Amino acid sequence: MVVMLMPVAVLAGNTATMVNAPAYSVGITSFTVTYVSDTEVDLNWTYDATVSNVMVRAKWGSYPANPPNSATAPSDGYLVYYGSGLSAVDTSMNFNNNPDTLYYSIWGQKGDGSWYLIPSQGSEESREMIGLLLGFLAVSLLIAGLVLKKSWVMWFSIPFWVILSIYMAYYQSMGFPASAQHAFLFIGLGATVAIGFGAIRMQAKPANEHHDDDNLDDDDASTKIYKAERKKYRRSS
Amino acid sequence: MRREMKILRVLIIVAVLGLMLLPIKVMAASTATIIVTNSPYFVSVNITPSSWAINGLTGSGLVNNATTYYSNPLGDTVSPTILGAKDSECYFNASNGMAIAVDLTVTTSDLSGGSDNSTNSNNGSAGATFYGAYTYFSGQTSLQWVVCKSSGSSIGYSNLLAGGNVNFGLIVSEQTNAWTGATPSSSTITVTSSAH
Repeated sequence: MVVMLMPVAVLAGNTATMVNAPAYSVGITSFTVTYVSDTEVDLNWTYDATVSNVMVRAKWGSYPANPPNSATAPSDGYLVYYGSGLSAVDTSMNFNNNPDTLYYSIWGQKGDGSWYLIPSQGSEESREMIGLLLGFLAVSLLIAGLVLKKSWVMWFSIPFWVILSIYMAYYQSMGFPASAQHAFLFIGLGATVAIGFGAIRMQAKPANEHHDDDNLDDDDASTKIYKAERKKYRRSS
Repeated sequence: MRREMKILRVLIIVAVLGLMLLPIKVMAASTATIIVTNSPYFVSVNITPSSWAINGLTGSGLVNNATTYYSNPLGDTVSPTILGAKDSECYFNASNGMAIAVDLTVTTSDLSGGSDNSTNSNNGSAGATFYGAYTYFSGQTSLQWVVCKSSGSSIGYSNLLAGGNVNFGLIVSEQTNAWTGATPSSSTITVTSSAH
């Protein structure tokens, strides 16, 4: 007797991938806000073919508000640009007088006059406070090193001078003329190096060459020995 | 008398033993060899091409919401002939490389991985965050086009003969609500074959 068992295996067939790419647009495809100086911010943007005009508005402290609907033009903040161009320069601010943050929004307007309700945005703020902070740290460390007679404190100011010089070079202006900035940096760096070398040289002298006790460096081991021996001598005499 | 009893006892024992052995012999004589043959029908189908960008055959590849698209090489927004789809109106081809006739069923999963992940409505109609889909095979009238569900679709094409192939396409109605982003999403089209 022969029994034939013939099952039918049903398998999933091949597959393919279906890709769904939404034609989603906010009109503006890029928006760049560039700090040039405390009185100038450059604005650049691009937009797609659905846009016929753009409007750029700015506001201190927060982004300009969106219009309530696509039929209403944006109105919050102050107008920086309206038209079909690709760049604008805003010189209406003075970060020296107002160190707050300035916020920019750009909206695209379609050919039918309606507005995209999702803006592209960017912001800028004064760089001066950061530069001043770096300068303050550098000068403070230099003076502290002189007063405390600690050469390593003075050496520690060097990185801040370097960061400050790069920062100034990158942002061009901090409200000072370029020559003044360079002179400031040159003097600061030179003083640091000179004082640092001087301190090292002084530390390298043997203890018995110190004649002026007030100018002795406490970090010097030989100085400590000299002071201890002097104290012992005074007690004994 | 005692001798006769012994003989009788021996005879009984022999008879009993004989009866015990008899069925064994009978059973042995009635045994036959059973051959079980397991011959599965390995049913498979191959579809080409392996991807489809909606509105990407003649269009930009970008899709609008609340719009119906077809995998029609003659036009992404052109419906196949409702009195009978033509081969040239079908983007996909399914071939049956096996030795038996098969039925084909097409499913499409929910769209995922994008900014707008529409779900298959499973009823062919689009809605808010839902897309609808149909399958059409070459030669079929619009009345025969089958709703393409995420699972459990009806048979779209019946009796594809061994070694045969057939062209087919998909109709996708995009979600009715506006897109919230531009990141593409994707779905897997699965063609399941079963012995006809």
